[in-house]
Amino acid sequence: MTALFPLSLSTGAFVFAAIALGFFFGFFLERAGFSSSLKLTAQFYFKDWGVLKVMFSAIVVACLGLAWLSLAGIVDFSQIYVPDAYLWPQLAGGLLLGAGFILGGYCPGTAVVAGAIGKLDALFFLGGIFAGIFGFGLVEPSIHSFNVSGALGPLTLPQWLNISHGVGAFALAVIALGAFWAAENSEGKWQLFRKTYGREQ
Amino acid sequence: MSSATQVQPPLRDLSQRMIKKHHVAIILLHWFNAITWLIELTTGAALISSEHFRFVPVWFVTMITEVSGTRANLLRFHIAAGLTWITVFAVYAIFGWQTYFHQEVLEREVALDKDDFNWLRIRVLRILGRSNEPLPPQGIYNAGQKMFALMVYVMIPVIMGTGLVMAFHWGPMTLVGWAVVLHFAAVAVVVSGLMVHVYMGAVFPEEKPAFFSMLTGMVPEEFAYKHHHKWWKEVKMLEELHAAGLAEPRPVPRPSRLAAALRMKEHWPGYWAGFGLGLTLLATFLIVGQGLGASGGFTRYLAFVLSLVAPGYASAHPYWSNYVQPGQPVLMDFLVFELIGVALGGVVSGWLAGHLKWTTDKGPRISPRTRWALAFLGGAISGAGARLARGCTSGLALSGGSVLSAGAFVFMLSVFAAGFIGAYFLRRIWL
Repeated sequence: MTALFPLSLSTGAFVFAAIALGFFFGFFLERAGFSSSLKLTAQFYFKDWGVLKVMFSAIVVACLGLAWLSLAGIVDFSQIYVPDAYLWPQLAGGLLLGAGFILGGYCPGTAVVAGAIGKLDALFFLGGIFAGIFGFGLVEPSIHSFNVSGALGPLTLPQWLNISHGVGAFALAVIALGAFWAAENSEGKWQLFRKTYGREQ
Repeated sequence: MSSATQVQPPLRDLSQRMIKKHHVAIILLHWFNAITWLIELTTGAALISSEHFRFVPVWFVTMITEVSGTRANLLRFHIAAGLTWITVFAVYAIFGWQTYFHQEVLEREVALDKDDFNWLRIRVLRILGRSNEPLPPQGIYNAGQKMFALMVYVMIPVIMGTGLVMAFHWGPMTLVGWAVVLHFAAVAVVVSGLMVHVYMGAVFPEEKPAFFSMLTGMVPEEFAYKHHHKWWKEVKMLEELHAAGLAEPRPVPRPSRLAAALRMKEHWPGYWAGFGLGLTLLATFLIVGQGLGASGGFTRYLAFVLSLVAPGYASAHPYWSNYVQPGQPVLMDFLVFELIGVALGGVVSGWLAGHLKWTTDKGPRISPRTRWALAFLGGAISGAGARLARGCTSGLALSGGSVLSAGAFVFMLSVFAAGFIGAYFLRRIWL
């Protein structure tokens, strides 16, 4: 038998699955406190490492899960979507998104959750997103060559480093554990916020 | 409690009152389990292709196979239902380790005591007409029910384990071969008990209240008094102690850990929420073959509006024509529907935790108006950045990171770099 996953769904099942999965996504984002721009931006002031903790634990769970399930033959990894890498635009896009994040207090996904529970600033952020995307569409033709520069296709880190996917996943988990250790120390012993900004929390 | 102090209540009163026997979570699990067994037995029987072992008529195999199209589909369906079954049991075992596994299963459903063994002996002798001894009093489940439960709880892991080995061909062929034999044997054992269970529950007149208690959770006190005397006494003693104000205060129904976690006002510790998010993300990859996201959905919404307002412009524009193509629905995309779910999930979580409120999050040194303007500006920069990067923190960093995409890690690093550096220069906004 071929691998069971990913499933090929009918349209109705697809729409239902999308809404249901989105539900849990939104639910856990809200539970994590990501419906608050104060909580989110506290990350960048070293006050609260929630963004790193949530993001990395989620990535590690999904990454190890996928690696194991494909090892067991339950999931066909070649059927899983891997985003195309565009080195330069992704570097620049990351800088813009990071700047927008600290200026506006959210990122697109968290803004939806925050807007849903009544955060007015998040609703303005959402309006901004539409404006930004529209603006990008306007100027994209003139920056098109930059927008497709550094194209590497659906490259993964293990492919790039020439190691097996499982080793890559394991290494990521180890790195994440190191990051969690640093995060706990930063909130506790190291007092990075006080040392950087010269005041108590 | 000696039998001399046996309480003699007026039986008429007893028939009026109902007492609670099953928690709603147990009732739901029972019926989920019943439906799954029905499905799995039906499809499983039709999947047995060998002439030697097939015990159902050929027309049944043909009928069930045709309902699902092909035999391969039937097998997929059987496995999918089995995996769902395993998942639901796992959720109960993990989140309800104390409540459902320890208190319900170990202490109530399978714990056979001396009375139980006597009950079994006397019951058999009475059926054979060799004894007139009265049956010893029973707890919340009688010895027969406990024997059945014990058998089922021993067989369920066997069925699950062998099923997984068969479905995914784990291990050498010999192991898979033995798994097939064990799978059938364990199912056969459960089915033999199931026949008695279904007969007692659905047909046997004296056990009618037990059947209805699996729907409503309640049994008439008279039934408890007659059939589950020890349990009735426990319930009664507790009630009397409370009435006399003697006992420790009525055990305040401590919310289960899950309920408490769902309603807690504080944010979850990052690792919990991250774990939940990771499982959701993993499920998304398994079910639809791609990850979660956000900004791509917004882009589709915008493209949809453009295709309505200015269809000619949108389909001719070098960028928007990526999304707007004649004859292709713009909104037929995973993220478009997922975002609806995200908002719903946020509302439900916020409602449970009491976070629903119109407010503005801002630093102490700026006015709400400034905050709104900055939020709009930040949103615009993020929106453009997300399009340039072909994804945002959800779609690229989180989902791409999980498949170890090289672009995702480049993006992540630059997001955090810009965030930490920008934070220093924009500290007036937040501190």
